[in-house]
Amino acid sequence: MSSVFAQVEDMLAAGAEDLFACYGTSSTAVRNQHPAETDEEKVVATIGWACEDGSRGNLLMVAPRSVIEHLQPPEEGMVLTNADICDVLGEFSNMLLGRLKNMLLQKGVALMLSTPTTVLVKEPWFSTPLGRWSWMAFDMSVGSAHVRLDATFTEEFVLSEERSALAPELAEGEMMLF
Amino acid sequence: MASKVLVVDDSMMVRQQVKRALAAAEFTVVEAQDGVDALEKLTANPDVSLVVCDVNMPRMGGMDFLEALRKLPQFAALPVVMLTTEAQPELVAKAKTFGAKGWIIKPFKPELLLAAAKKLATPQAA
Repeated sequence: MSSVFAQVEDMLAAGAEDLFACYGTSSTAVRNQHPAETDEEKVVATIGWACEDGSRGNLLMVAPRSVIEHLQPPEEGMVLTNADICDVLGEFSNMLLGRLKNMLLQKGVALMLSTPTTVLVKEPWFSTPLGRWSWMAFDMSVGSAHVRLDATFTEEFVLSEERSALAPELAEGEMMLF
Repeated sequence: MASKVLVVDDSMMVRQQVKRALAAAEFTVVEAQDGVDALEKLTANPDVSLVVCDVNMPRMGGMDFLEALRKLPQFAALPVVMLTTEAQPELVAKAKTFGAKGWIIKPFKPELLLAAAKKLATPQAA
């Protein structure tokens, strides 16, 4: 059986593919691909996560303006400002980690998430976390988005084989009226 | 008379998406960036007939906002729909306890949000 990290990484890849598909972009995760060093400005979005068992980590999303505008095109005659593109990638990172959270709830694990922090920067340099980490790339016609999962799992972080009682009743895009 | 909807989300992208979805039925949209801002906007716009609210936001999140809203007599029955990436059953149940009328998981389908708004929003006297 694959490691917990590999299982969570698979869920994250599937979640990202589904999320991009919701925004009309078909892209398959390419593992172990980190962002290329270019002069192009990139937005970096990060959200921290933690579990009650002490497991913790971060999600990083990195994308140039071209990819962000491809995913969320500006309204006709409008231009996305720096604040706008940071906001868009921050929300994508939020939706992606939210998807991972909902997948993990089905396996009996509840994540707590922070709100996203974003930065627009040229030639970002990424420090290496102490725990496990991996990059994946999502190639699109206008460039690539990159996602990095950082995670330190305790021994109590166990993914249930059965559908957990914590499993959400709703999936992404669904609505429930009371 | 057009109904007024308050959308509460720290993401400008989400607020714009909600605004676009509701514009199709000529709803007037007021925006707030978090729960604190939303309470202020409601004071200035007492004729709001529906609130669409995120859960995880800085300063005051959606659940705390909902709880605070219900303590204000004039807004005790104001319909609120939560729009969030969260799907945890216990959070949904808590929102229901505080009188939320619906729960939508992002990314949302505009036609679903519009249907909910048409069903729940009724024009309020200013």
